[in-house]
Amino acid sequence: MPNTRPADKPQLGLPGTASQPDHGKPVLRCQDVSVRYPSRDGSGHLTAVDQVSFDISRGETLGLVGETGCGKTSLARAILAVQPLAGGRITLLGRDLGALGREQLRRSRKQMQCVFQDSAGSLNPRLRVGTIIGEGLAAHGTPRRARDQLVLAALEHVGLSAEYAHRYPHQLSGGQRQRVNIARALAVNPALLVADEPVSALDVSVQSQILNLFVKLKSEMGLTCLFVSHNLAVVAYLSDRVAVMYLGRLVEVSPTADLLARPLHPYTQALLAAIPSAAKRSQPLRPDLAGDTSGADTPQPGCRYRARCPKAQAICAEHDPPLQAGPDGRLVACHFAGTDGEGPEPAAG
Amino acid sequence: MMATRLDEPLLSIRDLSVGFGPARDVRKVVDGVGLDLAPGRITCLVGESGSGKSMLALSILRLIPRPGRILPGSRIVFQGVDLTALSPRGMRAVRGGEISMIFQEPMTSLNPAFSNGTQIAESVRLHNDVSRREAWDRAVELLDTVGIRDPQRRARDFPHQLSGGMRQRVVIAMALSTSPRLLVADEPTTALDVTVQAQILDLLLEIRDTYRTGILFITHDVGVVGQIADEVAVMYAGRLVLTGPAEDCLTRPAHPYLAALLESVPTLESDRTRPLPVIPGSVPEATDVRGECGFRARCARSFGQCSQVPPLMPAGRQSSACWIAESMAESAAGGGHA
Amino acid sequence: MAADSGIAPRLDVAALRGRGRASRLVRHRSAMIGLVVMGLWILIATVGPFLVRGNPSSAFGYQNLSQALLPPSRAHLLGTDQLGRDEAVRLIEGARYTLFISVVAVAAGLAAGLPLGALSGFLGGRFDLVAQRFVDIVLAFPSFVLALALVSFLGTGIRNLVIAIAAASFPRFTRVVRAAVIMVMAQPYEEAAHVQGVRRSRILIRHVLPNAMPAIFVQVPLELGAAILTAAGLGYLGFGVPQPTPEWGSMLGTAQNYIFGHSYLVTFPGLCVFSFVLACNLIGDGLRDVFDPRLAGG
Repeated sequence: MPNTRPADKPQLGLPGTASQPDHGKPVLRCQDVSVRYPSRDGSGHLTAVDQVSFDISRGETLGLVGETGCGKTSLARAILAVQPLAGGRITLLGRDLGALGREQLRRSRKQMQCVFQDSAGSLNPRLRVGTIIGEGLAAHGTPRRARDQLVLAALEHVGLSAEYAHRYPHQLSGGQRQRVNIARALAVNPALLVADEPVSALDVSVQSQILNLFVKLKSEMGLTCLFVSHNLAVVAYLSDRVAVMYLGRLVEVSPTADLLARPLHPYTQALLAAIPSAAKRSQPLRPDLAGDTSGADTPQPGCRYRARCPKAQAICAEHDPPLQAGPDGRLVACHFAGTDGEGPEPAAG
Repeated sequence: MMATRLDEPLLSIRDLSVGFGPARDVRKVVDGVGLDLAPGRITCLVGESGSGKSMLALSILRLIPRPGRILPGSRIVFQGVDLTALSPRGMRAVRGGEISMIFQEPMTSLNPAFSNGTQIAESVRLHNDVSRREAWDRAVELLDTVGIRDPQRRARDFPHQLSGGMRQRVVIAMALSTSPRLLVADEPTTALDVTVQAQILDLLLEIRDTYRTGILFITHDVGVVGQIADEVAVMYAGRLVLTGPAEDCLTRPAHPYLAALLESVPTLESDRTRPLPVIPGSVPEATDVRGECGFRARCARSFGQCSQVPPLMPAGRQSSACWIAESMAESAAGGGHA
Repeated sequence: MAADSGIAPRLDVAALRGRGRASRLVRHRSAMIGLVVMGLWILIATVGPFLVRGNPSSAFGYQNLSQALLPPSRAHLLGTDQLGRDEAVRLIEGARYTLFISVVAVAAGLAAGLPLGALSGFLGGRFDLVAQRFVDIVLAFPSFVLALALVSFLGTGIRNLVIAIAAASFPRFTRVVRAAVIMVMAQPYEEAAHVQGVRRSRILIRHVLPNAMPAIFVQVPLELGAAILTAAGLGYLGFGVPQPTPEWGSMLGTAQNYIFGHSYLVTFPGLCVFSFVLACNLIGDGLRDVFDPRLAGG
């Protein structure tokens, strides 16, 4: 571990963290988490997240990928306890967030921080950068002197010099603002960082700076991270495992390399096929899925992907496939996972 | 100005500058751009914020919002006519007729108060002398062409009843209704999901092949460029810095900006064990870089001469505004600056 | 990895908060006109009475019927009223009453409306529901009618006048503050503070209120103008300050009997009210223009 700081300078990051995820006790555990919103015409609910379960281990980066309406942002907000749950349980470091009283929950927030897409909107335009970064520390009782040190340490970690502490957000570029957001999140030394589209709004030529920063934080600080994005290439670059969401459900959870090499769920296959690249120049992409997600508001029996799925058979209309582990430990929710669709071959389990 | 490889370009832009402010102190957002668009080919115009790419597209149809304006000395020649000198009535005939445009956000192109069919039919009747019945039938036909299922019903539906991808198809149908020779598309898929984007990209390829329509596709997504471009044009801080055929530009880019961009964008094939090559700094405003190469401050290869604005220089089949264009084009895309 | 050592965006000094806005206000022509006029009136209201102390008309009980209803002349610049008092002196004396009443009333309205509006917007839920229904009821009355009703119930006199006008003004403040608070709360940085674990009370005081201040700055001059008009109206109807106190509104009220033939008795008080209210509105407009782009989260 390259932590060669002088002893009196406060350190961020969990001491002695490995660069490999430690699958002992998970940092975050979601069990059957559901999030619902009242539907627009007032007649009932829109289920944005439907009984989602997964764990994140210490030091792991879990990528959460999905398109519009899949519920990934709702799930991220539920984990951060800014969105009430309609069902299920979220456990952070062994504590059930839903069972905490208001003050206990407030104190637990120290352990989970976030970085969102809107880098400018996330910063109070009237406060200086140093104040913004130190605010969480102040809220959790860190005395001023220690606070200032930690703010400077946080700035250094994200590659900004100390003088940035005196600037205002509008004096920074998009990339610098996002670094400030990351510094703020790290300053309180959280157990979990939730990043929801942190680079999507940045200029393309700046995105790699921030992505490299995430990689560095992961390796140097053992950062545990839930990385949410619609961009599978970005997610794949940063994540140890990838979870794919579709219309509120997890359809596949696999280690990154396995997911890219051999996607099991038809939706994952379609997502990968749809990514444009020079390698497929001038050939039609023809992702193997029909239509779009309109009409998805009315819940149908059976698998919710079947309307677009090339492998759909009769069984798909009757039984909603649960997320199950195959022999290699990969999770997938499909009756025909990993097959070529030539014949009904139910997934293991 | 650049020499074109084709003898009859569909659209020929010369010395295009767009700016605002008083004449003695004009601030340019597009500076002296010269570009030829080939008929029946897809030209991807690549750039980030502040590059001027959207302003360039808007200036073709003279849709620059005030207080901006096309500066004197600019020429945009389409089928022998200089569009910058055309009368308002002449321009109206061109807009939506010979040259159509589609935008990023389909909801702002579609009027929520009218049915989809009505809007397409309106476009048909604006440029053709046909009856209402005929225009409606044509609208339904177009909806089918762009891949919308159940076109009869969808023609009667309203925009808010459609998903984002379908709305964009309706917009494309409107754009195609007059069989334009040139379709200008300003980031039409940026706001769409990747699976929907794939369908729209396939549709545009089909349009190119079936109707031989020239397409100017503006984007910041180098993956999309790789996928559909026949020709590539790159803008940075208001200037055109690179043009050329896609195979050349994407494999051996003759300009450091595109080379660096291609390396720094993560792809599915990116090596997870190595850091991504990085372009330091941030994107400048077009009005901030005068008198020197706009990319100089961020370029790993800059040297003394870069303090002068490099003109477009030939480098193989590409044209690049870089003093070392030729040596860039000869080396393989690589040598990043991680 | 490369630190962000590249091109830093040009420091736009004028955009730094506070300093930028003041200079923009100075450049806003109509707001400056408003400020000048208001400044003049404040000057007149404070210093004027001392300057005219020697003049017999400055005494409230003074009468000189032999000099009644004289048109403007060199001796009496704006003429005399029905009791022979110099109109100009009365207007100068009256300025401080009118200004005092409107300033105190607006301050009271703000003191009541700000906490209610802020808590309403911040807490939401049932508190908001109940509070806003109460405000709805108050707002259902046209503000002048409300003030009139309160004055007839409480009796005339400066104190009751102030209460009545404040009561009409506070629901508008509540609404404006509530709207500003809700808008600020919708900003991502508010949620970010919440996720950080900042206590709600601190979020309200440290984050929400400062960002809601611009809306308040804009509303205050508008309320001042409205308060003066209400006071003038009440005075006109005879519900204002007791005679013979020179308050612009009541002067207008008595002057209406003399409008044919001695129209100057109506014109000059009317011009005073008009100019002050106009100044208030111009300043309000100017503040709104200066603050608005910032309100959007600059």
